[in-house]
Amino acid sequence: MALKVHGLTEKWNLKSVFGVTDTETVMLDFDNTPYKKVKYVALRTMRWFKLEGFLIFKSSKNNYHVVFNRKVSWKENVAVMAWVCLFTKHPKLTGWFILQCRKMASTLRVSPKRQKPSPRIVYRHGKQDKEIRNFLQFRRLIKNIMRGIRIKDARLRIT
Amino acid sequence: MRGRYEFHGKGRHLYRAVVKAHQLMPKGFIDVSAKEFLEHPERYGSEGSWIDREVES
Repeated sequence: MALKVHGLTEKWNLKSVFGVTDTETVMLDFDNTPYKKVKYVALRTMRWFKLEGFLIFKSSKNNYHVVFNRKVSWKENVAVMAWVCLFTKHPKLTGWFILQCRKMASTLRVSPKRQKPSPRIVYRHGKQDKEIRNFLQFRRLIKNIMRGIRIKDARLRIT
Repeated sequence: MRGRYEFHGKGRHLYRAVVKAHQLMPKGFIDVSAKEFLEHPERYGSEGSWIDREVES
């Protein structure tokens, strides 16, 4: 069952958005997709490409991010993302995929954005010891940076 | 002006680069090491303030 996300929207009033960018981690951004479908597609993808495990984040209502565990080349990463786009026929995911191809790296948001809070972990499956661990380390680093900026910003407003 | 920063490097450099980037608007799509950005910020950004606009990942 998916958790409701509560969080940093009230505290985060800066206009910048922070995310993690990588070429060797398979990441997917599902907008307007029910949780059960995201979980089903993630499981099918993990099994088909032997990606060892995955993590689902809820970024806002009906919006989810998926990160897989096995390290891949950028070429294989593109192949996996394209396979998911063909499998789901999801227009928003396909739009996101084209943008990642243009940038030649995948990015997922970590910070809050407008009224959306920071993405929260809602499901884990399989191994989490490689790219998922790295992703979570970068996520922690970004959250620490955000905390630092928030403190600095609050001090500036006081003085 | 549209743009974004992509920083890579060590944690302390990343932190300082992000703080610095809040005052400097990117000159387009910037992919740079955080250390290099801190050494020559004027090469990658110009003064301004961020505006709230819908962005894709």
